This record gives sequence, C-alpha cells and structure tokens, in this order.
Amino acid sequence: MFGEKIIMQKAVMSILGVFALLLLSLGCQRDDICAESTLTTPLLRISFYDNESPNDSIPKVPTNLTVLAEGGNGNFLTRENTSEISIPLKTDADITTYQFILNDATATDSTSTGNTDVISFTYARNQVYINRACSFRMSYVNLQAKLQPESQENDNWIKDIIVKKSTIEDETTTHISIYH
Amino acid sequence: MKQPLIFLFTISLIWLLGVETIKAQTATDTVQYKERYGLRVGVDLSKPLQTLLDNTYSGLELMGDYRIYKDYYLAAELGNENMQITEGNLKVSDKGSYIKLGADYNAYENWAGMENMIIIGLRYGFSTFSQTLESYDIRTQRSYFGTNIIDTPEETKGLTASWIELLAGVKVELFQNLYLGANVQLKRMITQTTPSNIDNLAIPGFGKTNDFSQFGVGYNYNISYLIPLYKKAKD
Repeated sequence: MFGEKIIMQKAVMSILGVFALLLLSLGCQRDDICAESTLTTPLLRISFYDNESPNDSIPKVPTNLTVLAEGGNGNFLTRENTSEISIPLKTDADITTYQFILNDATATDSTSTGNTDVISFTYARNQVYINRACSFRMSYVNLQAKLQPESQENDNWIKDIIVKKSTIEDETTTHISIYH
Repeated sequence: MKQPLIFLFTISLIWLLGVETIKAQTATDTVQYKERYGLRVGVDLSKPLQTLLDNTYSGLELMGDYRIYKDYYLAAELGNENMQITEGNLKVSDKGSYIKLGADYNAYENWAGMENMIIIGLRYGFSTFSQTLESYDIRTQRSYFGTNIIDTPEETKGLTASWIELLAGVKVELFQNLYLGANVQLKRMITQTTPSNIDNLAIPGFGKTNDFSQFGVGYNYNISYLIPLYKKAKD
C-alpha cells in the first residue's frame, strides 16, 4: 500500500514537471507580434500597357508618373518610371479617387507641365479578422475603375482601363490594366 | 507573459512551506486515527485580488469538493469573469459564467492526523459568455490614408465553450478545517462558438485563448473550509 503510494508520488512529480515545462513554453507565445509575412490589407496592383497593341499587352512605362489620392498624405508616388505600381485603397470608404500625373513637373524643371488624369476606383469592402496581433485587414470586391473624361478627348493620356481582377485579396496578380 | 512565472514561483514557495510544515510533524499516537470525510467549500483569492488591482478585470470563483473514497474527491468550481483584452489597437471584452466539474486525487501520504493534499485533478469546463469588440484598426501596409480605427462596440451574446483541464496543486490545513491552497491548470479547448467576425480572445473560466493552439493556462489561490460529515478509519 505504502510502496504503491510512493510510485504514485513519483508519477505525480513527473506530471508536475511536464506541467511546469508546458507553462513555461506557453509563456513565450508567438501571438504578441504581427509577423511581417502576414497578409494584411492588399494594395491595388496596376500595370501600364501600350495602347497601340492592347492585345499584345506590351508593357509601357508612363514617364515621370506622379500618383496622389484625395484624402491621402501628399504624393503616393513622385515621378516614377515603372510599368507597374501598387497603390492603397481607402479602408473607410467605398471609393478612392486618384490623380495620375504624366510627365509631372518638378520644382526646378517647369518645361513639362504634366497631364493629370483622374480615376475613381469603386468597390465593396470585406473586413477580415487576421489574429490578435495583426487585428483586421480589408479585402475588396466588385472593383470598378472610372476615368474622369476631360473636355477634349485627347486631353486624357489614359486611353483605356480594363479590370483584370475585380476581387482584391492579395497582390500576386495585376488587378487593373491601364492602356496609354 | 511574466505573470505565469511569478505565479509559478509563488506557488512553489507555498508548496515548500507546506511540505516543510508537514515534515515538522511527527506521529506520536499509535491510536487508529480516523480521517474526516465531508464537503469542503472555498473561494478563489486571486480573482477578487485581481479585481481590486486591475480595473480591466473582475471575477469571482467558488469551489467545492467532496471526498468520496480514500484519496478521491469530486470537485467543482463555479465562477464569473469579466475581462478586457487589449492587443495593439485591438480591444475586446469577454464576460460570462462558467462551471468546472471533475475530480481530484490526493497524491500526498499524510502522517496520522494530517490531511494535506498534493492534488492532481481533472475537470470538464463549460462557459457561456458574450464578447464585445470594443475597438480595432484595419492593418494596412502603407499609412498613406492614416490609420482607420473603428470604435463602435459590437457585442455577440450567447457564446459557449467547453474544455478539458488538468490541474496540479496543493491544499494545506492551516487551522482546524481551514485550508489554503494553490493550483495551476493546463486547459485544452474542445468546442467553442465564436462571433462571426472575430475569434474569442478570452473565455471566462478558460482565460486567454491562444491564436495558434487550443491550449490555455490558469492558476488559482484558494481558501476553503471543510464541513466534516463523518469519520472513517484509514486502512
């Protein structure tokens, strides 16, 4: 009877040891910090193509492109030369209006005045819970893009906009193609 | 997560003190000693204390155990907790009641006349609660539009959760029939219903949940009183 009890006590001690280890390991939880690799609110990915051959989809770089949004903090991009950009959409409104300024002027160079085209992106928002460290993210559905027409047709440097993917879940593929 | 370590340390202190006092006793009588059987009722001391110290928490837990056979006890806890969890810009509060039912095994071999315990226990826990999403932000890669913080509280009622709990602890008889105890608990979630748009960040009785596992931890400091019902000779 007493020997049995001693064996039980040994068993109990080892259970307690396991307990202590588990408690210690749980103490170092990894859910305190939002990991860099976590998918958060995706950016809208835009590719620029040559208007002359829309079917061929030949990338065409818009020269010195400046991008800014209504309600944004200054310029999002300033005089960039790239055929692909990723821009944020608002998380608190179903519309984000961006100005795309081609050949944007600089403070020192006033020869190029820039051609501003305005695109309104409309969408519906879906709020998705990530985890306790990262909180929530937004995903967008029913994406539509509308180019604001200017008085003379040739004033728009953007000739055509095609929504390639109307659901913005991630940034792996182009969502919108702009022909110019 | 410093707290569990402090608790562990304190628990081990209580433990050592308990064991020392037990060792200091010697059995002097050779009389067949009868052990007390009865209902022990108590209260968790840590929850009222935390209620006083931490204004984002309030809670109370009552407990009881009944010795059924030799070293085996039926045990139950009944409690209510209201806690606020803040993680970055995410703030959530959970409130509700819980019950834990199970059994304790006393692994300690007492000297005659002593009734201290080293407890290994098992519980089934069940909680009904509500969770309120108080405020949160939308995580973005670029802060071009500033941070969108939403602080309209959103409450989800009628949530439930159940879990299995393994506990280890001690109970030391301080005075006649009055016990002071402490235990740590390791919990494994079985079922839970969550609000449609978020997980349960904490569950009354279960404590803080973990995003990446089904496990949780808890602790308890308690004071309890034994109402002796009958005595039975130890074999």
